[in-house]
Amino acid sequence: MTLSTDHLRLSASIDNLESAQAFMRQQATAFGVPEALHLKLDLVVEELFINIVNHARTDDKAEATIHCALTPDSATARAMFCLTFKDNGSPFNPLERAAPSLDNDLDKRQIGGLGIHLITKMADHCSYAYEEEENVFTACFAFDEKE
Amino acid sequence: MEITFENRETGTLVLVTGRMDAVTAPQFEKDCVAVIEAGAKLMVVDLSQLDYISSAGLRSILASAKKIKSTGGTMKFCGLSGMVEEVFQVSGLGTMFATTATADEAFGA
Repeated sequence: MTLSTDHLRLSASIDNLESAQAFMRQQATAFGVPEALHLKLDLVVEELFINIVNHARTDDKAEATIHCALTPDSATARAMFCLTFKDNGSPFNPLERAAPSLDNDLDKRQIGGLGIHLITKMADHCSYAYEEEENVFTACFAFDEKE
Repeated sequence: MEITFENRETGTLVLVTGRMDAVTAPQFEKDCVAVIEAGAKLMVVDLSQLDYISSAGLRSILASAKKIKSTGGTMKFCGLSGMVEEVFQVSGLGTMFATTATADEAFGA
């Protein structure tokens, strides 16, 4: 069984970052996701949402929808908290972006491109699809449910 | 996010508290660049009271570190813990920069 609740639809603006994070936290708390994961979840929400804002269409119809779900991971018997972001921007698969160079030399280091890298490092599973003219990105986090 | 700058004998201590995210991070770079342009050659950034950092924060840090390096100066970091330390490690900043437990160690080294 997959537990699922409301979604939140927001205009794709940096001003809505806090609302996006607050919604995810409320959902995570309701699903019993341990507090220890919340900052990582905040990070992934920020990276995904800001990515949508940066690639959003330029009219006033740029929107993002956030949806949270709790899914059992049948392979490990652990719970998975999954965040799904949908947006109506141009098709863009962040997972196909070349990995950033993590060069140790400050002079050669690019200052950008770390957002997707952080998402894939923090989440246990990520997927992307383009469906019904929307980008759909899901990031899942495994955790042990309390007895 | 709050940033305070404190002049020490050998450099400038930068204490950052709260959350460094896409909204707040540009302020860090702006404030650091002003201090660098005023002549700072050693900046020690104390992150012990920073709760949260995202890629926008890393971007501001990298831009500021490049700026001070271009003037012949150095940026060091101290007090990394929790989520901030993890983000530094997975992005490679933890090995690229000199990091110490305390600010005194960073100024003394």
